[in-house]
Amino acid sequence: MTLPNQIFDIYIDLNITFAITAVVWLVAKLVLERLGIKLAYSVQLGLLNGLFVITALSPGAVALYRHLLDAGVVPGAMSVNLSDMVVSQYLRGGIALPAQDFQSLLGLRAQLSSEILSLTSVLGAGIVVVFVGGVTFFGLKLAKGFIQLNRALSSCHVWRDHGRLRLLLSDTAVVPYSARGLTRNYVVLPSELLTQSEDLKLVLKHEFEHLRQGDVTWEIGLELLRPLFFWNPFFYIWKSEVERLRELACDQKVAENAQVDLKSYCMCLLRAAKAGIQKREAFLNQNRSSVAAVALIEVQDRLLRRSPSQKLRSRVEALMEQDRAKPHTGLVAMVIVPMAAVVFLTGLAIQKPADWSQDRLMLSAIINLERLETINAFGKAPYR
Amino acid sequence: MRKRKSNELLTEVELEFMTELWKIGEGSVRDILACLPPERKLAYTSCATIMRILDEKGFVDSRKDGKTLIYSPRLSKDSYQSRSLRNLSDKLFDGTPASLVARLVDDYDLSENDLEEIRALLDRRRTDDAT
Repeated sequence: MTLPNQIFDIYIDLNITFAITAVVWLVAKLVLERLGIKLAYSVQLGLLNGLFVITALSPGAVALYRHLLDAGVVPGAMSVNLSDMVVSQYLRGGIALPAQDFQSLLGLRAQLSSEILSLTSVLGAGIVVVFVGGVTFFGLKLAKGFIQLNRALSSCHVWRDHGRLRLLLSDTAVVPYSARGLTRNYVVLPSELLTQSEDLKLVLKHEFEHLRQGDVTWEIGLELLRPLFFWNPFFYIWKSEVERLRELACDQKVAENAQVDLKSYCMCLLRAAKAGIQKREAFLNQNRSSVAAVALIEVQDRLLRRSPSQKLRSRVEALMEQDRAKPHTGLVAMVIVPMAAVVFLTGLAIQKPADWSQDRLMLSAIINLERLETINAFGKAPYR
Repeated sequence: MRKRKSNELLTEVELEFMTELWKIGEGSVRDILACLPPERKLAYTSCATIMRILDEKGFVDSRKDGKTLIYSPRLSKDSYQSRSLRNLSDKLFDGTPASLVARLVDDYDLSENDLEEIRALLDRRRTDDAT
């Protein structure tokens, strides 16, 4: 197998594993909801980020496992392959399809991969054009977003420096937000917030919590992946889930602080939203990009997303909820182990089979027999 | 202190501070703070930051008097009014001041005295232009 083939296979496997991970997450969420278990948002965010890391590492883990299988360190019986399982099911009569059609279905991915990489068909060439176009578009959008963020940061006034943290004041920032450079973290505050000391304290607590949780780094990481996964709907589901949970987790952490009055914090969010909406109109053509930055509150409508007002309402409602469970780390690890196992097994199962199994040989024999029968039947006089 | 190119317009809070500074001519952060209404309840550090930003933007000058910084406006209130109106005319009235004045006359509840004053102003301007 050539290097482009290998890279393409890993890319497709990652997309499939990513989709399965998103489904695993949504199912786990549904099960917890049905069981009435309300996990703390910070725990949920930790699980979500953990699953993402496992998904990203799955190609490496699968490659290592296959290497161990080939070396005979792991017994062959411990190999899992989806296509082998499906062939076995077919031979047992579990799938009602003509053998040739079934074979074509099994080889569909290989055929599509070959068409895309060799550019031999219109479909393959079309997919390549759309993919390259999408990667270029989202790549340029990302670069533009970084440039805009850089400009926005450099147009701010430095308020204070605390080690690697720099607090900035901006005349044009619609809402407070956090961002980061290679070595430094930034919290940008609209300059008028200086005159509202209570809100200023609450906003700073919220933004510091984002930095503690590493939300800005995760945001940059996900944004960097967007050009590669732009066509995968599960990427958007995942990102939206991360955005929802990180805000709820931050709100919860701030609200847990004994010095913070819940009502004051909710009112602070409302005031920030109001000020943001007013400013949004004034700076309609500026600061549109929110790439690689984590804002206190959303005030811009986004395509196919819940409106900012709905999001704010959910946040206030979530703040009113009490007693969300914070299980012991060991218990959380026990939850993540089966999830990780599903992700890893998916990654392993969707690999191409290493060699011809007995079942595959049998399927091939059936196809050949069907072909022979067709040839023999051709030109034969019909029975009277 | 690093001075920046003067920003076109002041923010709402900066305008509030500049208005007080224009009134008193020059003063320290404490002087300006004393001029603000008591219900504003602004922290000294916040005021000092706002004044520092105004200095960075080039709207005020600062000089040291002992350990205290004394601020004075670099820009007169009239100059800022002109700048602000020009900006409004350019951005909202497509660069046609006549539309701005028309909107002002239409929507603002101007008294007979106000209208007379405007008329006198226009007459004076016309006479000046003719000579």
